[in-house]
Amino acid sequence: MTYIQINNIHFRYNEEWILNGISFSGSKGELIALVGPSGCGKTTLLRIIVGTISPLKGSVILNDEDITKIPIEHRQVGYVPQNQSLFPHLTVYENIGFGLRRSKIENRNRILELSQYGGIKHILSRKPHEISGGQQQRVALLRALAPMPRLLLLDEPLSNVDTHLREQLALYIRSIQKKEKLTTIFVTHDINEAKMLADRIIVMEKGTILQSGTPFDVTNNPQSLQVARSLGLQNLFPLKIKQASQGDHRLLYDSEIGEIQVSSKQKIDTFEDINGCFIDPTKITIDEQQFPKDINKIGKILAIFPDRMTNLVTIIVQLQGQNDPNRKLEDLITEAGANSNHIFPTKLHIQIPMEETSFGVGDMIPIRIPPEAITFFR
Amino acid sequence: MKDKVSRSIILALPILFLVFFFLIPLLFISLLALGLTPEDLLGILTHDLNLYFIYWDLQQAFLTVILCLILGLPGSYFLAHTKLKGKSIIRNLLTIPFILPPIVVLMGFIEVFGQGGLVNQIWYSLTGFQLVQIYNSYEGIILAHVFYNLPVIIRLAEIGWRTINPEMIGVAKSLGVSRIKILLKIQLPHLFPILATASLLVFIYAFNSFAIVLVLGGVQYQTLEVRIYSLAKMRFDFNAAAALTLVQIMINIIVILTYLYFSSKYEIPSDEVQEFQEKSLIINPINIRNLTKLSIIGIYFSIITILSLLPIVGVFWSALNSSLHLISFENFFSLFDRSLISFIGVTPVEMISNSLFFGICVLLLSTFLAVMLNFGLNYDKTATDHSKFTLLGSVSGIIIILPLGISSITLAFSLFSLYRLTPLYENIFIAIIIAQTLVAFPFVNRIIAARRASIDPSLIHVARSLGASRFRTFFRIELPLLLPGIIVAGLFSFAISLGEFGATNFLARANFATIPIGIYKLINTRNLGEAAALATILIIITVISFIVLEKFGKIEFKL
Amino acid sequence: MFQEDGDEMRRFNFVYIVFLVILLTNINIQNKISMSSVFLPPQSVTFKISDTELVIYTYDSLLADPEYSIETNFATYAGISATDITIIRLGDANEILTRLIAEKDLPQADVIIGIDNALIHLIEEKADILEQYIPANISDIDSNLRQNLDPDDYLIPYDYGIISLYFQNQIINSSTHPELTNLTLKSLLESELLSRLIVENPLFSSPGLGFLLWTIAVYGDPSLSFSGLLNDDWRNWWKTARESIVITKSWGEAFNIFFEPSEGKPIMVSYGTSPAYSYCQWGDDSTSAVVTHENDQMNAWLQIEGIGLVKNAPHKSMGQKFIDWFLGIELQSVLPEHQWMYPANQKVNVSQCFEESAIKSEDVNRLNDLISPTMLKEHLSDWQDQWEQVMVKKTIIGFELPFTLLAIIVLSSIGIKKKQKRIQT
Repeated sequence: MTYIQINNIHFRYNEEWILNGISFSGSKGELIALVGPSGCGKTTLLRIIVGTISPLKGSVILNDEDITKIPIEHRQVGYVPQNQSLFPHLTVYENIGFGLRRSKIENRNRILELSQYGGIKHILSRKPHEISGGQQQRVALLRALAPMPRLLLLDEPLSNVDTHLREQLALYIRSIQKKEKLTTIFVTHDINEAKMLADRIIVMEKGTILQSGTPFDVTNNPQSLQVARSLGLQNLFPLKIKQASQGDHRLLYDSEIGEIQVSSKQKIDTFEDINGCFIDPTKITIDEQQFPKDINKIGKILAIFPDRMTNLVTIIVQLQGQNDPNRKLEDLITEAGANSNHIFPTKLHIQIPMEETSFGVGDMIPIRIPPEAITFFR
Repeated sequence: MKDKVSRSIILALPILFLVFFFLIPLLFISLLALGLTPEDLLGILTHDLNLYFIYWDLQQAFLTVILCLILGLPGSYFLAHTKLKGKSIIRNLLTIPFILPPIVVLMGFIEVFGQGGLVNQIWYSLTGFQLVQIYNSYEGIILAHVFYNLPVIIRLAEIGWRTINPEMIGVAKSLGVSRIKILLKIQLPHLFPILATASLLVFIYAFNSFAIVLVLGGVQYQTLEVRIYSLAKMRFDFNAAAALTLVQIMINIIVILTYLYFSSKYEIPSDEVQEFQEKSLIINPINIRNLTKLSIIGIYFSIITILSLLPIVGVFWSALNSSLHLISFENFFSLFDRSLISFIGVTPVEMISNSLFFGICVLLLSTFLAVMLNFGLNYDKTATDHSKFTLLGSVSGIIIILPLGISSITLAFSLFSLYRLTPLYENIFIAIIIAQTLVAFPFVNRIIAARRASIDPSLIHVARSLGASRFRTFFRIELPLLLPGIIVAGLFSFAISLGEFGATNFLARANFATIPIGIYKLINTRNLGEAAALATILIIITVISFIVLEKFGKIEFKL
Repeated sequence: MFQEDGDEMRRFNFVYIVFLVILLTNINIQNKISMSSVFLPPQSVTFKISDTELVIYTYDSLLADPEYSIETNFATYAGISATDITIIRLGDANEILTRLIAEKDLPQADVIIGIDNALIHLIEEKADILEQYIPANISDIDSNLRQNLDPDDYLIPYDYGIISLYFQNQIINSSTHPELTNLTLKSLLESELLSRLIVENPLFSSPGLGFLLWTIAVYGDPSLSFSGLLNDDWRNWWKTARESIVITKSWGEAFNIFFEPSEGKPIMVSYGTSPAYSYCQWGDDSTSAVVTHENDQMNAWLQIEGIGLVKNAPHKSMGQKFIDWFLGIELQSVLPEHQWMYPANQKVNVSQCFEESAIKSEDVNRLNDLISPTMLKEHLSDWQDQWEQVMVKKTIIGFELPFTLLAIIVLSSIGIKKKQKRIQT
């Protein structure tokens, strides 16, 4: 059941379209993450939802009520800006209680209840500059929650917090939000944060939504090169079509790592709008063997480092040559090393299981990229 | 749309105030002058004396600037580059002449360099001659102007030296560039906009000088300010006065616009950054071994400090001195003496209470208007970049800063000619309060606006998102945070009102006086002791305000 | 809401334009400002006309030292309350005149006191602002004075005195400065006394104006083919004197400087009767007065001060009564020792101390005779103007100019260099 609906929001500032037709919806109690690089308009969108700015076009519907034209103070939207903006001259107690309108006793109860839950009861009489960053963040959150808003907006809630506290705070936010069944939109540039907390992720770039879906959806099925980039994936290469031969359903693309050949049983025209690809680092092998369908290259190792958590070793290589079954690998390697014509400056990331490493930095290795490793984007 | 309505109402008060009491009178005067027949107008403007005085005014202002630059630049260089224990004390001492009202400066000058003043007395006892004659002397006027304006150059230039990126100098040095070359090629070009603004500021103050030239200039030397005053108030030649006012306004506007232009070319960084830069710049901590350098700097600073303090000392000395005893409070007691009424026109007590009354009214009115103005202008402000605070961008910005560039006599004269027939002018107090508020307004507005700009706008958004209306937000969040700025601005306007002489004197009628007017009349009638006593009171109040202001927030000379 | 700055600007510009339009339409109506309409005091003045019985304009030092309460004394005479009499003391006589002219359409004052025989010629048309009133005791007033002040009797003389150089004889006298005996304006120029002389500004002060006329009468004015006594140019005297003398705005100012020893100015332009001030009150004969001796005679300018009834005075009959009283024996006999001038009423005898200290006007050659009233009427304000022009040295080329030029050259070269740099980068 749709609780919040963002309809076709447009916003422009100084000749530039900051938001160009943003639409999405969320259900009650859902935690939606807006992810994107800085400058993509997510903070602006948040501000439009809060009400500090008006959109050029479009509307915001909250619980079937169009709040686009309602002034900020009547929207009942909780807002935690990026730098918390705690009122410096008021105590923590007063900050939290600022939005409460009931009797003194009721207000007091609410504040105590919230601060108990938030674990900040002992600092109620302090001023904002007297408490730690993590505490400030919590206070800001509780302040927004105190008047029981219909919607909660958080702008980069974890960015000002130390790393080891970050997860703690994130889970805390999640638990409150779930407990109060509070529809929440939070903005972040960190995809991992979003993945950790959100029910749904909306990927934005340059004022438009690239993809919207569950963390699982987005992670495993990025729909475009940009989304994939915002997910932080490596081995993303834009592609330009070089040659299309109708006969054997083969297409040749030019990329930053050289030529990539695709053969397809499907009709050729479905492959014409491809603009980029992702090469799964775990599916690349270091192999002398040549298979015609594969892309076979020679690369120079620039870096090798292990990762305990995933038990993989990441190798970064610089492709420098073509592997040819008709020739000896050693010769090819020597040739690749001497010949600088075929150096492709873009790096390729390879991830192999921990045990198989015997190489070092500077070694030339044969690389095989099977077709199943490549995901194409349009 | 309720927002828009409330916003318009809030803005209306200060804007209407400015429009009715500043803009329209100014336009009125200008149109008046333009409304004269061309022959009349030309006749006035090409009248030998008027032309001469325009020329002389420009020239003396220009000379003042040059002298201040010559005297002030070395001082500022030293202040910026050397490590001295009492530096901030010296800096504050050097600033004092600038914050004193001109009438006090004049007083001090007369006490030191006048006929019976310190210098002449000493010289007379040594040689039997008078050394200096400040009345009707060009040198006297320039000297007084330089004394009054030197702090502007020194303080602004010092900031200029300090805000150069120290890394740049470090790199230049590592490349083996000589100190002189660094000075000429890196430091001075960087300094140029700041020096330009400082010079323009000095120019404006010297060009519009009133009290000093009124007394020291006599018949021979008159700034436009004095000339207009004399034509309007004493010869009742309003047409000529209006024509000259127009000329003065035009010159002032040009200077102010140039000032704003240069002022937008640089930024004064925050205090923390300045401190950091200062530490990086200190090339030569003074040590005993460097005796020659130490002595040169020492001599320079002693001279400047003595010169800065001398007139004030002169005033104190004269106030405490009487014919009978060396130190006595006789002059202060005679302030309560009714006999002074024949010189001043009112009893001294009345005079002081007038001043205090005006001070408080101006304090309240100007801060109120400035708060309203800033609240209204930023009513819906979204979070924009607040680090750059330029006023040039908007028409309203220029209107707000213009009273600074318009001299006090012009303000008074235009108010007078427009409102003379209205009940407004009937009650002399109202007109004077309005005039003084206009004089104080740009400063007050700047202080409050700067304070307001430092308030995080999200505070307002958050407060409103929590259900507080715009007004509630203003009173509970903005106002408390604005309070230090309001206090500073209030003190400032109080001090300005207390020391204001030009406009008040113009609008005053017979049998009316404020402290500055009293001082002026006492100077004219050569009751220097009592005048000095009054001046002492003004000095004390001004210096106290200054100290409090420094504690609360740095006084920026930039506007 | 989001295009705020633009909205703001447009809104304000609109407001200003509206006001500008209103203003312009108003300006057309009030195009020329004549002195009268500008200086007209507001409708309801500080005093209510109906609340007073009499309003007098005069200058600040009238009967002021020692103070004589005109209000109390006249009130007794007229049988009214002293508080119903309003005396407005203006800066000096010039201001009285201007104010009168400004108020001519709605007179606020009944009587004016202080217009002298020079200033009267600055009035364009006496009938516009004054009304002839001949008091009953007019025969007591010296007819010579009447003739010299105003033959038409718009103003009646109430006192007179010659302008003289008033000095402190303990500090300067014929032994220290022999030129004091038979002093001439010329010898004054060459004397050390010049640098110790205080002269009042003839634009603002009536003794100052009298002194100016003194110099004009003695030296003459070639531009008007007026030879005066010496057939020279009065401007030359002032040109030489301007460097040395001190000019004050008012007689009061000069008086204070005169008596302040540290100032070192023991000689000033004042009246022949001024020595009586110290002599009559305290037997102090340390002050004297002197006039100049051109052509083997004592020459001086006689100043006659007048009192007059304002045209359409609000309280006409009371005003007339006042003039009667002011010219009557009672007031005129106290006048000398409060005003330190000779009374116009012939029936009054001045005390002995006057005889012993003041210069009698009968003893001097009246320079007034040299300058006819027509001449005064035609040229007085021009002379004032020209005096100012003579006094201001107008050095365009002084020590300052090369300095200034150098600075301008330096600055513009810096400016040009910067411009060049900007074009290059």
